[in-house]
Amino acid sequence: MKGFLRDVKLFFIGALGFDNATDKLKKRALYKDLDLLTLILSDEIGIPNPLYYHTVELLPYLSSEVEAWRESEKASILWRVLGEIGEP
Amino acid sequence: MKSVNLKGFNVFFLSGKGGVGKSTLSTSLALSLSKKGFKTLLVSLDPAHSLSILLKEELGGSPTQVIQNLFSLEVDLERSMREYLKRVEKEAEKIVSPALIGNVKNQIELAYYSPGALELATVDSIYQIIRKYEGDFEKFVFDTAPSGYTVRLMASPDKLLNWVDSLIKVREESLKYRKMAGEPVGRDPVVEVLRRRREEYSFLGKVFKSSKTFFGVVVNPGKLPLEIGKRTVEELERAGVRVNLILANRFQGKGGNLFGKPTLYFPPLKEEPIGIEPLEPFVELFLKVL
Repeated sequence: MKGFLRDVKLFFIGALGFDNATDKLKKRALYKDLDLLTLILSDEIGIPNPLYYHTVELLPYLSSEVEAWRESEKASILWRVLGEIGEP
Repeated sequence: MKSVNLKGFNVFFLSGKGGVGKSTLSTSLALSLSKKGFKTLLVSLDPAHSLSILLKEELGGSPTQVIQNLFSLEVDLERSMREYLKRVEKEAEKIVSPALIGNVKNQIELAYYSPGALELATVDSIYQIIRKYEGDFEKFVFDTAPSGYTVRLMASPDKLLNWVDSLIKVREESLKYRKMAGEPVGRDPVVEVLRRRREEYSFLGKVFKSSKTFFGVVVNPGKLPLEIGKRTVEELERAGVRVNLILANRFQGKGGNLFGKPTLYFPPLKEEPIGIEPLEPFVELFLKVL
């Protein structure tokens, strides 16, 4: 029964385009901010950031995304590289 | 022999390893500039605070008058670094949830020990001081020059400015999508911080590349000290600035140009230079090229 209701809900969301566009836009915004975090925290994926002392000033405003960055961006970048080359 | 006239420069940086006599020579240079009637600010960025000792004056972060036309200040770089990072932390406390704040604070504190931090704090100070006092003084003498690496970063500002511009663009796109998604978007601190840095890099780039900015390298006699001096010259010139003068300190007698650069020779002083009187012979030497 629960599964059926969920399918109905999904059907309407899909059919009516509910919050789809908004979600997509928010996601795009998030990806842009994650790009910024990649530049600021590049040291964590092995690329030194010679301007860390300056860029750290941006961190407070992006800090809500730091966890997401560590879980998605950092993980996927490292996973891609390590998958290709292998761990030392 | 190539010679140099110091009158045309507004900003002076003396470079060289610790103990070669940068503070002694920058003080003498500043004294001679003030004697020529130029209102001069002598700035110490040296963590050893040798200027306070040398001038027998408790110097602080704002200009203290030494003699007529000469003012001096000493920057406590470590303190400026701590204060800057404290401000960033305070900003984080306003925004970040209590669950995350510890983590973010640790991340901010890392910046204190990050490679290049002291160097960037040095150029921040140079920027702030020239900006703040450019209307009050005609000549600025810094007893320390940033390293070749940092000069390279700042003296080729196009690359750096493009980089900051890309960051601003990325953030502005993020804000655009947010706005389209119906979120309220006002003035953005990220863009503001980046614009401020852009302004700083662009200003410093102009200062370092300006024909009115003087870079001098202080060397001591001896094969090894000379080799180190030569390397400093090469490093600065590779970074894209011009070294205008070699200051050959503690040399008995005079020689020719060192490293193909105009060279001024300074004899060993009879007494340890504490106070400005013992510097008199050096001041005279500088006055000859002013």
